[in-house]
Amino acid sequence: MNSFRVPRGEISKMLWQLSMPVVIMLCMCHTARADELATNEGEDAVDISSLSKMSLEALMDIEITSASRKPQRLADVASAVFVINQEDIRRSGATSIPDLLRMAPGVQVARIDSSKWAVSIRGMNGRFSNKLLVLKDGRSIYTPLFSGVYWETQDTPLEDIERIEVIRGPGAALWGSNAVNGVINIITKTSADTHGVLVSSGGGTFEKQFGTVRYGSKSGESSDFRIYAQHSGRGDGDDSRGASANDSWNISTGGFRFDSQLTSRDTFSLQGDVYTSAYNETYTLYRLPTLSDPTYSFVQQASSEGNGGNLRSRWQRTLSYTDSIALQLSYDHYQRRMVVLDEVRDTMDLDFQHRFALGGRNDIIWGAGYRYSHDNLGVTPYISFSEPSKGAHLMSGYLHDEISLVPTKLSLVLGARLEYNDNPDLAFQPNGRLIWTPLPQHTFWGSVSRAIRTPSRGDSDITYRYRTLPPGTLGNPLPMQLEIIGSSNFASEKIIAYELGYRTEPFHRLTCDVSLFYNNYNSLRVLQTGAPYLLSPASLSQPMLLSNDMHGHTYGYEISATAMPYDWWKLQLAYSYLKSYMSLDNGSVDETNRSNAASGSPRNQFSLRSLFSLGNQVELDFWVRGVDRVDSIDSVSIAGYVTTDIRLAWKPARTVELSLVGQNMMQSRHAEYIPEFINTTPSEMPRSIYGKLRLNF
Amino acid sequence: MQMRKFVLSIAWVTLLVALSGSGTAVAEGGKPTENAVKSAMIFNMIKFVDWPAEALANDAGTITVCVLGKGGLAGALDALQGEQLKGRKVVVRQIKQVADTGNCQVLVIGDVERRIVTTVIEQTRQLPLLTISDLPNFAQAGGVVGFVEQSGKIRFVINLSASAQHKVRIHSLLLKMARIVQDSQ
Repeated sequence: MNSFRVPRGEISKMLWQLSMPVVIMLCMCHTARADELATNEGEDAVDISSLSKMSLEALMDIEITSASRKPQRLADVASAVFVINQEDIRRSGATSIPDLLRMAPGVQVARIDSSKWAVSIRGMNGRFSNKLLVLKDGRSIYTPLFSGVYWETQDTPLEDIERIEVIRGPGAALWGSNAVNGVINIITKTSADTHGVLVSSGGGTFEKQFGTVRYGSKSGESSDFRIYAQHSGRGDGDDSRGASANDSWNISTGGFRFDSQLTSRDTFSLQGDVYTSAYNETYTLYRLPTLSDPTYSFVQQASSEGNGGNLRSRWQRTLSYTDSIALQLSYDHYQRRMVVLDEVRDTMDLDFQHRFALGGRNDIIWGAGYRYSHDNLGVTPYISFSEPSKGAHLMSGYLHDEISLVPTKLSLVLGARLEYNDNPDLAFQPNGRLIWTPLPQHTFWGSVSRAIRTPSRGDSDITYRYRTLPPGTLGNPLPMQLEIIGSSNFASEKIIAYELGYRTEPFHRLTCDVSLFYNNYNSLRVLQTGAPYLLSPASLSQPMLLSNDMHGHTYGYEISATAMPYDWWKLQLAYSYLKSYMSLDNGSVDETNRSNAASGSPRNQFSLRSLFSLGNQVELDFWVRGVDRVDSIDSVSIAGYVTTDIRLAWKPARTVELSLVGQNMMQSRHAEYIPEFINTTPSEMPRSIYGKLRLNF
Repeated sequence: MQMRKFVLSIAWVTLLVALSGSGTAVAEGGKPTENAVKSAMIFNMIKFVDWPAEALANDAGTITVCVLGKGGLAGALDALQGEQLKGRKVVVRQIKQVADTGNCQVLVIGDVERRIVTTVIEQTRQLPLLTISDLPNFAQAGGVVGFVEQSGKIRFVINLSASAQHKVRIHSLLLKMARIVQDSQ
């Protein structure tokens, strides 16, 4: 295992810090073994004789320890899956979805400033990372503008999330394009699970103030609904000298969900959200000098806006336990107003899926989808598009068969997805997976898959005047404007991924998961230097053309382990290792984007969480995270860091929870990332504390 | 710096306390496991269910709970062995295949593969059986009683059409506590 590269003086501190997780892990294995003996003696038996004497009503009122629950048959899945459940969410102290993802192995999460995150799986991170598919209740939330996610507008109340499934590796055969390096599936609770009133509110030094109100109830015999409103205001991060970075922001969200059991076989759900947000950011912008203002760049503090809403309806018919059909229709609208770009987008998505068993050995899923996305992009002095308004169709079909070769022991999964859009590439995305379960506690799996990242609107149509070089640089006599130019010939980026995994439950309360991957990429996006031309008698333009001129490979492994030595103590460890190699093709000299892809993600990462349920309804939770150095993102390197979050919570009554959370406690502030592509000023994450009160009745 | 030391000291103290054996004193004793609660609920539900006379005739004196699949819920049911219910003794029996459901009044389906569930539901449809499982969507797929978790508590769904097919009569008191699904026709 490579050690973390940190400044010399930090080493002794780090040893001290790292010794804690090691000791915990050692104890964990020891206690898990001892516990195995204890629990098999019939822990359930002791409970039941007294429980059986209770009435059903009383039994229905017992709160169970969800943490002891087995994840939903992870043993059956032939890919690297990590599930973040509601208990993990509640006890993390995290206040946003990207921050929650830090506990998952293989996921790179870096906060760029108060409102911006860079999130990726298995490398190639960046604010505009584009190899990840993110779904919320089955609805894709990536924007076709850059094939990425505006994380800051995904402000779902964390209390409403049932679980987040993080799938490393290509999921394109089932989910579609952009599921190149992974899929993140955010699944909210059905409204039957959110009856009553929830009021949650708090505030602190960085999480300035936040509050959620939710009400849910039955609606007639077999329907349920909930409505919610939420607001949060985040403060300014620090700049590298510790001064305020002017990047505070706030977002207000409201929404509803309605679920109905139409008949014993049919369920219907309708849900929607609207949000409005405003955030401060600081841009460094470039221009050509004029007589009145001879400078080449200036700094502009701006307040940007993002507003939007979405609606999703889903109908599902269960024909038998293995046979079901589902139809989903969703609509999404948003608009963003920024100094560099105005964007309005409407997306409609229709998805059909049929799952059935065939001949006792085949579990088949097939489906078809249609998506239409239309945008309106405003022109600014910095960014413009060759067609300011454009609609794009995407049609897809897929077939997936899980074949049971040796019942309960060996299964083969074959699947492929075919997509058709305006892009000339035929998007054929097949995969093959083998899953072997020789013993119930041991699962081995392997897979080979191909996925693509379809060209985004930006790839094909953008013109971005990102920099102006003063005369004299590169031997130019005149000021030179650098322009990134999209190309209608830009092709899909491609990956072939090879994966191996092993999951085991060696003892009753210990699960371990190891996965290895080798990803081979082709036709990755870089810039090719075009021929300079005269913009005016006094200035030059240097076009930089987007092209598919990079290939490379990444490999690495992830380890995760969860142990529950006692009912009142849960430990969870995740460790990830990643190495990337990239090479430029066809004479490209774009070293910046090459090193972003090769060195923009940390090589080593770990997360260790320790959750104590002390007596008297008190919880004490620790979360230690370590992230290795980022070697080069836009030619800047970011130091590695180790930090800790601590949460102390007390439930004085069944309906009340008070909690105090300290975040990033180990240092007064630390840098995590800088934004590539758009020049906004990054900020560092400060040490912070917030308190929270939650009422649920 | 002071802050970090403070935090680390707390971490160490907590860890030491947790490991020093005084752990049980601070353990959250009150919460029984999910499967124990479900087993107790099954025990209680049986009180509210009537089987046709012929289903109980051949094996007077017992109520047989058959368990298909291992792990999860299936593992916790052994505790019901020998308990008294409706003047009968509860017998818990592990079975390997659907054909073995002959003398069962209750069939609990544990952790099994999806397609096995379909087979079980189809092949036992005409038998006087109370089928119970905590697999997702069990009642919707034609099982009689399906457990669901709701806000950390156990609830159950009853499929009335399925109970009619199995010819088991469910007392209205039990129905009142359940979420009901039934075929539209």
